[in-house]
Formats: sequence, structure tokens, C-alpha cells
Amino acid sequence: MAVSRWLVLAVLVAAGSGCGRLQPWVKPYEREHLAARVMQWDRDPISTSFITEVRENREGARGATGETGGGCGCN
Amino acid sequence: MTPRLALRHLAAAAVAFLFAAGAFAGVLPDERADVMWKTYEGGGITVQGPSILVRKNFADTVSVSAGFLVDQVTGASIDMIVVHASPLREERKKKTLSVDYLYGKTTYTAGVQNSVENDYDSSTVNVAIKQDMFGDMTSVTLGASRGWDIVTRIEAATHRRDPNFRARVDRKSWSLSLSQVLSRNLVGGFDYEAITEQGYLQNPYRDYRFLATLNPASYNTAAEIYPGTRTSNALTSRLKYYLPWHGAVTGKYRYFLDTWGIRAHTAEVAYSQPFLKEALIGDVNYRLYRQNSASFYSDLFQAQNQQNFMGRDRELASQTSDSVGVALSYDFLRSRHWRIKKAAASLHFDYIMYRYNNFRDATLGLPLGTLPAGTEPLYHFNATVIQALLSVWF
Repeated sequence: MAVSRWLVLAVLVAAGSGCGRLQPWVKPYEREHLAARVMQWDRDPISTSFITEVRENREGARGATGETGGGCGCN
Repeated sequence: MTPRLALRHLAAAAVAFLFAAGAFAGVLPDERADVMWKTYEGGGITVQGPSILVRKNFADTVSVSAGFLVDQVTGASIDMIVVHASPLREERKKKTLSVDYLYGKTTYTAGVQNSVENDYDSSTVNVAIKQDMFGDMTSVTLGASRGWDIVTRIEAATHRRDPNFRARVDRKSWSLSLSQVLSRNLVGGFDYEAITEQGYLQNPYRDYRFLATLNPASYNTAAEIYPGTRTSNALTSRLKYYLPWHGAVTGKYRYFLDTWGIRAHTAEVAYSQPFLKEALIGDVNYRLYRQNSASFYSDLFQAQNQQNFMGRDRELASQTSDSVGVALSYDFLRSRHWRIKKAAASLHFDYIMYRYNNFRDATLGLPLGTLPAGTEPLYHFNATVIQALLSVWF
């Protein structure tokens, strides 16, 4: 477990400091498509929040949805 | 991984980011206000009410988001009918406040939320650090939250909180997200979240069923007994691809497991297509969810106190659900008008089909004796979710 912790740290520090000579392969001026509205992960957060709550109140699984839990609403 | 070990890993990773991050300018979220009316109808329950969410930025470094919603809940679910409870009529109010502080490529987030129901109060605080890196191709977010809930019970006779029943739930969660630009047309990511809860985790109104001693074709009920702790891990992977005709296709998969023995798979595909020079966007999606039952779940136990933990909540039963959704969003204002940059109206419709593999519809056996216990048809129901939004960007 200690080895995996140091491995995670090393990867994150390397990523955070720019990873040496590895350069971004998609330049900012090449990201026109990625900036399109249909490419946003969550265009309407207020709607995502409600549908996530509807699902989590009726399913056993929860989490990893980007939403902060809390409250019951479990009818 | 234990929750404590996960916390140590995330804390160490957060410190590493703070030292490694370069100081370049990032971007705050859009300033916008959303007003929504939503309804859920299914399984005998109707939930409806308004939601409001406003985000305002200050001095290019601070973004404040505030939300408020009301859920008015009416009806009687299958669990309530079986124990002859009176139909439900309650209200939930939830308030959220979140502040983002942008420093270079790092966004620090702190938030609070409070939810109050007739019989359930919940407060949550959360913090997160987001780091954009590698020419803005990579974004990593570390998050943690802590929650404190108070569980009470409404007395059927007085419709007030039972003064002799008050229980607590403590919640903690840790999350790690990675978003990555993979090509000019493809983005992907992973989201991991560990959640641990401790306290009164069951529903104070629900019972389990067990075979009657004198008449095995019938059953009796008793209050459920849940474990006092639960820890879960969930990992989501996601991809989004831009198509040559300006549409986008999204794929997601989540694997979930917890200490109650539940394993769940969630798969989702979505397609978005703009029309009228992006003034109109249409979305369709399909979601498949499957889970097995919790280790202490049974639709019908052989005897009372058969084991130390006993539950019959349908959320713990083996189940499959399919849901299809469509959404339309139309920008009815696209040029600056007074202080408004853009305004849009959206309509979301979702249809969800819940099918249970070992949770039986005990209402079909009422009055008792109509059907031998344990031979009732399996329960299933369909639900509709409608959300109407008005959004303004300023």
C-alpha cells in the first residue's frame, strides 16, 4: 500500500509540474470542437442535480456523479 | 481501501498539487440564473416544486453559487400501503451555497448545503481543489465532504415528530476526478468517490416480512434492523466525442460496490444535436442500471430475528431499470439585451422503468390470505420526470 501511495504522488507531482518534455498534443487553437456547447459535460446543473437525486433515492448505488450528497428525500 | 486510508491518499495528493501547480490564469464558470419547475411521478408518489440556482462572479477570481429548492411530496408508496400508513404529504426545502476562488490554474471550492424535511434534517459542508494543467488538457479535482443528519419520525396520530425518536447519521465522502482532452474531438475522464456513513441508516417507517409461525401461508412484520455503518466506492469512466455534423455522443459507465454487498453497474449513452445555428439543441439518452441485493435483504424472512441485520427496502433489492430521456433547449434571446447576454428555455422528459427481481408486490396479497406469502408477483413500476427550465446568462 505504501508503494502505491508513493506511485500516485510521483505521477501527480510529475503531471502538475508539466511532465518534462511531453507537450500538449491539442493546441488551444485546435479546440474549437471541444468548446461547442454539445461538448459540455453538464449543460444544466440544476436539472442534473434533480435527476441524480431521483435515481439515488430509488437505487442502492450512489456517488461518482459530481453531485454533493445530503438530505433524505427518500420517499 | 479504508476511508481513513483514502483520506490520507487524497490529502497527500492535494499537498502535491499545491506545490506542483504553475501559476497561470484559469477560467471561472459562466454567470447564469436558472429557474426550474420539476415533477416526478411514479410508484404512487408525486414530487413537485420549484428550484432556483444563481451563479455570480466577482473580480475575475471569485464565483458564488446559491441554490434553493422545494419538493412537495404527496401519495403513498407500496411500502406505506403494506403497513397501512396514511398517505404522505410533506415538504422538503434545500438551500445550497458554494464559493469558488480562482488562483492561477487552481480553483478552490467551499460549499454548504442544508435540507429540511418534516422528519429529516441534513447539513453538509464540502471542499474541493481543481487544478488545470498540461496546457489545459488535463484537469484534476480532489474533493471531500462531511455531513450531519438528524432522523426523526412523524407520528400517525398527531402528524408531528415523535418526541421519543431522534437518531443521527454522520456522512463523509472523498472524491477524485480527472478530465482529459484526448484529441481535437474527444474528451474523457474518470470520477471516483468513496462515501462512508455511520448512524441510523434505515427508514424508520419500514418493516420486514417474516413467515407467520402458525400459518406459513401468511406473514407478520417487524421493524427493520440495519447495520450502523456503510462504506461505498464508485468509479465512473466517461467519453464524449464531437461528430462531423456538429453533434456529440457521450458514453458513461459506473461500477459501484459497498460493504452491504451491493454491486451495481450503470451504463449510459447520450446524443446531442444542435439545430438553427446552435439556437436549438436536442438531446436523447438511454440509461441502464443493474444491482444485486444487499447481503441482509430478503423479501420474506423465514422467522423473526432470523439474523442480526434484516431489511426489506426495495432500494436494497436486486433490480434493473431502464430509462430514456429527451430534452430540448431553445435560445430565445441570443444578443445582449440590457444586462442579459443570452436566455434559453429547456424542457427535459425522462421515462424510467423499474423492475425488481426479488421484491414482491405485497399489496396484491392484501387482505392477507389472498395469495400465499412469497407468491405475490414481482413489483415493478414506471416513473416520469419532467423538468421545465428558464435560464439567463448575464
